[in-house]
Amino acid sequence: MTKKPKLLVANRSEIACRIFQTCREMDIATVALLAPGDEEGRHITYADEVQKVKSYLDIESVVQAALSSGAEMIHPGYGFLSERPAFARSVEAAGLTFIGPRAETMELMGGKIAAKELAAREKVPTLPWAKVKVGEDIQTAAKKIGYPLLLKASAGGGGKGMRKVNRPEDLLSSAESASSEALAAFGDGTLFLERLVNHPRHIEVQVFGNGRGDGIHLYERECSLQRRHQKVWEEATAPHLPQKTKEGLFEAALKLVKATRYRNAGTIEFILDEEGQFYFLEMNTRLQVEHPVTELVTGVDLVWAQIVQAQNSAETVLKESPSVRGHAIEVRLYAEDPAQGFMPTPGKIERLRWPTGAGIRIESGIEEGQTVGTQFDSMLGKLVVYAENRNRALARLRFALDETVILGIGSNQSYLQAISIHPRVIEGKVNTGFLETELSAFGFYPSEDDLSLIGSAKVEGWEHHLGNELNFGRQNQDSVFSLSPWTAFVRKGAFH
Amino acid sequence: MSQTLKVLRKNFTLPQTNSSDWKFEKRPGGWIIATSKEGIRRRFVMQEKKGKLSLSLRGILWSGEWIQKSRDLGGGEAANDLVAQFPGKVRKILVSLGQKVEEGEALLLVEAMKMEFSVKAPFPGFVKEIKVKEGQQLSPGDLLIDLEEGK
Repeated sequence: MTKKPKLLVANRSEIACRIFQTCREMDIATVALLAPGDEEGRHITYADEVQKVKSYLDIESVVQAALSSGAEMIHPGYGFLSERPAFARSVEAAGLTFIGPRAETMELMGGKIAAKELAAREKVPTLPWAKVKVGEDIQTAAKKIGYPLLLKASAGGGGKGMRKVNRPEDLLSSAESASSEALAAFGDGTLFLERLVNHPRHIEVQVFGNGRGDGIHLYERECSLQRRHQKVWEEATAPHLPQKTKEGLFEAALKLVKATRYRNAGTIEFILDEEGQFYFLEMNTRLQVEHPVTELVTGVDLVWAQIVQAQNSAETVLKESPSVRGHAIEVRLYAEDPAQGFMPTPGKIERLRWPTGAGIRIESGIEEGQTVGTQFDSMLGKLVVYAENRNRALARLRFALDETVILGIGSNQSYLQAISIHPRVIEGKVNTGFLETELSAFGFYPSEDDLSLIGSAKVEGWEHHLGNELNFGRQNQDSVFSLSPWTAFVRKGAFH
Repeated sequence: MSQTLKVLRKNFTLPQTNSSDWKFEKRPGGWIIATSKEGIRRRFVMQEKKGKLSLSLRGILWSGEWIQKSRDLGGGEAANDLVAQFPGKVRKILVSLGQKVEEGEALLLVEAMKMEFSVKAPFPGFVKEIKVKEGQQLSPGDLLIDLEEGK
């Protein structure tokens, strides 16, 4: 009898559970990692085996965990070590299979400047840009690019070391602070300047390569709804995108797949300006958080494809682009309170009910009774819906959000509901600044009907409190909105 | 007595309701169905723990705390909410069912951290129900006595 294959997921929570599912379906044994403070993590419950590590970021102890458990494959998920070339190298040096691209590809695409140079060589449109070392003449470089422009840390990400510069007179002071921020965060103060696009859309193309120069695209996703550079809502495919633009995007993406002889799943991010011209932004050399929307519209299990490709490096798992059907939307539920500046809301999940029904997919990172701490990412899970067209998908998303019950801790659930009923979102006309400008302040207030229900709710001990002042909204752990956003929206014009 | 609901720093007065306005029914799965006089059915999930309450209705989370209006009773003794404020033990119950009590009258004695606290009536009324027994261990949020307001 041959030994059952074994796979370690170097990650936690919902993405670990997502990968475990495909492993189970493929009859692959699963190994979870447990770092201190994550004892209640959902992935610990679902794995066949658990290995303790000092930290999810500790390369040595993660590789050692795989060796001790006898796993021959490591899936890095997203975040943590997923895009660290050193990790991919250590995994392969230990004789294990890394499910993802080669370390050299990560290195190449991980450096913003190297990636842009490659894109330019491949005739993939990039925004005018320039690299500026500390002390170099930044004014001349800026003049060539034009204003407004964006200062970015060349080594960075996540908005650190990033500054928007509107006028030449602000350039020097912004560059100074951006550079020192970049130095503190990444140990490298090198900046690069880039033309700023007003009201851009974020469109990305899912790709999959066989590692030998061939690859396919799996269409695009729109991820323009972001808060502080963090995506909260993703769709496949992008609404109102002309066929010609799509073809241009896919062609550009495939050029980069070919040029890097890209192996496994990856995403190429572009921004689209108001004229519909696209520019290469960066490549994510891993599975994305939002991969489910692509899976739903293409019918491809990306994790399955990743594992099969890694197990059979001489094969080509995905030979041609699948057809695309229907529309999918994903929203991310975070433990944060939109009413209080998106403050984290750690605590115990007293009640949890995920929605069920046609076209609903839940990627849960939590369980009822679990305590959500502040040590890890605040994402509780993802709610993904699929329907035959975008309007039906939006309606389905509203249904799914309505049916979701999370009690005990606050979440951004009502914020997502607010987004889902916004006319511009319904129209499909948003850009990356939309959430900050249109939805920075919003409020729902209760209807007469809601108040009446609350006033007379006398079950489960409510009667003991009648006659007292009911003070909702002071709790720093919980966000408070009305019971009826639909009527509130119409009556009060909740959006400013 | 009217009730106030505070949402996003805005006060709402709850309408005067009587028990016939909504009928409540518990359903499997933790759902509660509220049916109005007009026959409108609404479904929600509710959780109350340690005096804190959260409620989810059509995906909107309400949460908060019930706070009694008269806060200044009892001085340095146990807080006057008729809900246990801290872990402890019921030492002695000083009232009986149906008894008329005056505002500030001691209702029961609670022991915690080797000290004794008295729980006093926040308003004049009648003891409608005694929710605890002598010697019982208390967790924060446990209901102690149901007091009906009246003279």
